[in-house]
Amino acid sequence: MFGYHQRLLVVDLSHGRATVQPLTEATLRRFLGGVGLAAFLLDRECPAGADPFGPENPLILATSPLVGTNVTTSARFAVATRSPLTGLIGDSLSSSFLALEFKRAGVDALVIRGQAARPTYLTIRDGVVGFHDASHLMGKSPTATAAAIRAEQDNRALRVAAIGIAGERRVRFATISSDGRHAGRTGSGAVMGAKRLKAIAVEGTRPTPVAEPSRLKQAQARLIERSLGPATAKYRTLGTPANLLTFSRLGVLPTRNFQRSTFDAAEAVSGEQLYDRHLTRVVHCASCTVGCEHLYRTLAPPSDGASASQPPPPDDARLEYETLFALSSLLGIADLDLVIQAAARCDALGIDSISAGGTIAWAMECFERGLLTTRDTGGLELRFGNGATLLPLLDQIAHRTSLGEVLAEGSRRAAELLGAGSAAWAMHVKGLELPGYEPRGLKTMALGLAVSPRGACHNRLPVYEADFSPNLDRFRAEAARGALAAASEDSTAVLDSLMLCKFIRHCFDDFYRETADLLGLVTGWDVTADELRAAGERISNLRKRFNLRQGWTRADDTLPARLLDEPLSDGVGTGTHLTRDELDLMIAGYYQARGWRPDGTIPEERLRALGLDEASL
Amino acid sequence: MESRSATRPAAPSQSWTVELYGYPRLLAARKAVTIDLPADQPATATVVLAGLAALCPALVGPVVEAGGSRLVDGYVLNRNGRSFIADLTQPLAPGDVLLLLASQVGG
Repeated sequence: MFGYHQRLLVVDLSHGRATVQPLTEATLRRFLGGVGLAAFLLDRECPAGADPFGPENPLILATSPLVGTNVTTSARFAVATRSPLTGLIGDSLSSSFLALEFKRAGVDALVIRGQAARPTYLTIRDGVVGFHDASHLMGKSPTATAAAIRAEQDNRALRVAAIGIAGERRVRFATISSDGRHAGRTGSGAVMGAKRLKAIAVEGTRPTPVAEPSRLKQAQARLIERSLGPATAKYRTLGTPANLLTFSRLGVLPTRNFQRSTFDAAEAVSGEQLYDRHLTRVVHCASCTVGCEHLYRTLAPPSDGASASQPPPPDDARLEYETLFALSSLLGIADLDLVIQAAARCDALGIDSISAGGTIAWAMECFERGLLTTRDTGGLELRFGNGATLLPLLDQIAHRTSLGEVLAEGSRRAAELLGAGSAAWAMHVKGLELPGYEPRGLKTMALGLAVSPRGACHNRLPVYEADFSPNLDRFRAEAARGALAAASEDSTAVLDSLMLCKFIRHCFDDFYRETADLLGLVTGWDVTADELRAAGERISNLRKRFNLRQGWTRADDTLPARLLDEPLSDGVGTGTHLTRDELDLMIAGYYQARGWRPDGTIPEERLRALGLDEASL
Repeated sequence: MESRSATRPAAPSQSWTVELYGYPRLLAARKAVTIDLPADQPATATVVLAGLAALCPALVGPVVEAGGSRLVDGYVLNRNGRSFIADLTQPLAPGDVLLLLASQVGG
């Protein structure tokens, strides 16, 4: 078979065993790879009600048929587990050389079950698994862990996915890091930590078999040419930080925990400032021609006396828009040097910067309202704009010390623990903190954030594109937005299952036909656009089906009370409301577009039609 | 990077401000440009773009098409921070501020 190895590697940490199971062609064709294959395996492996930190919750990694080819941006892998932050599907993606090595190891996916008795790291060499003591690696950053493993295995070719101290301490928004990139959202790093699995080191020698290599080479060349054109110009020049200043001007930049939608200091922390004053280099992910990743350097030396136990920031720190907004405007912080240091600190500790920023923003508002005092914060004056609190607080979270013990639970649980009405400004959906898009000024995006199966997510349902287009009024809610959201979710599911980067989504004139062509050239299948469109719909429904088994209810598809009760207080959208009726109207439109019941459940006949009923799975 | 304006014509004129964001700002090395047009000339985004291209030749090619009246794919104009402009030939209202920015969003 082309494109796949048809091999699933299953590791049982409780018993120190590994086996290889076959993956059928029918399964692979229906779920493709990446997010789709990971969701299929998670649905199969994870019992209803499984404790996210228990041995029964699997941790799954999956590649795709395109991984290992030279199709631009395809060196990516997906991680899936039951999220400790949301209790629902937790999937995240990462781009790295690890994905290539994983595929070369001769497996398409990895399921990790159980829980090791002591700190462990795995080596996977051409599918053969080794179990190693990781006690001496505990407390190390992901980067230091990878270096230590390469040294002790005397193998510089090993590619390593690892967790930081936050994963070890089960911070519910801990990440899994590889090559400096992160499978970032929904806390898969904490699940890895609960399994006492510090790292996975991989190498392999098996190429990805391709059905039509010469024609694929031509298709690759066409895609590469487009990837260097106007469709990716923004990503190649300023990168995603360019969003910040624009969003502030458009009145959709979450600021001071969503109390405002513009930031007075937006110019000072803008992507333009980063580019002018801090940029050191632009780098590419493995197998990527776009090169969106911008590395920045501080202009001032670290000024963080409270974090002397941490290694100094690396010379260059990665900073994307989401990290930039979460550590600046969301907290009212206007110091780019500090934001760069904080981004590097998040990377070293292994925490999701969006959830970290969102949870700290909640705490700052609690402090300003008098619900938290310096006695709770270890002496920190936790006010918006007080940058001196940021690095110490990130350390507290990762180590679960002082207030960090509460914040490590994420904003939803932290608000439940504190009470006193603080849930009203805990800015999450389903437990996942909101990304950098103000929903009251982006009403199609508001729908996407409310209904996304993994919580407040801008990646699985990136329907903000409709709001930023001339085609509709972003301040208006209407039922028809439901069909837009469903279509966006399905095409994204295909992209995330083939493991192509979203930043090349506009490099296709006819997305389904052209991606079907790519898949056909790799696998030899006669794939049609309609087949891929159906696969996207199937994968979207499967992710929802998993949530239903884990206890999802209609009440979960909503937005934080602040967004539904308070109008925008500043910017071009001043006075704009997003009412509950408006949100319900759009959600009803989405359910209808999906063919679901009004309560958001999936009719059995719909599951059968998609091949997702028990008999088909 | 300060706002600059074209030489004012002798006849009565109307002014239009174009704010630049992202790559256009870097290329033009200014945050905003004021375009002065004769008061009797119908003001459309196309006309304003031509004025912008004349004032900021570095934008011609990467952002504004040669000829100066259309945007290259990947860029878009927004009016007053509220609505994105689909038809560049539609008349502008007095006082409209145009934002020139990348059409790709997200991250």
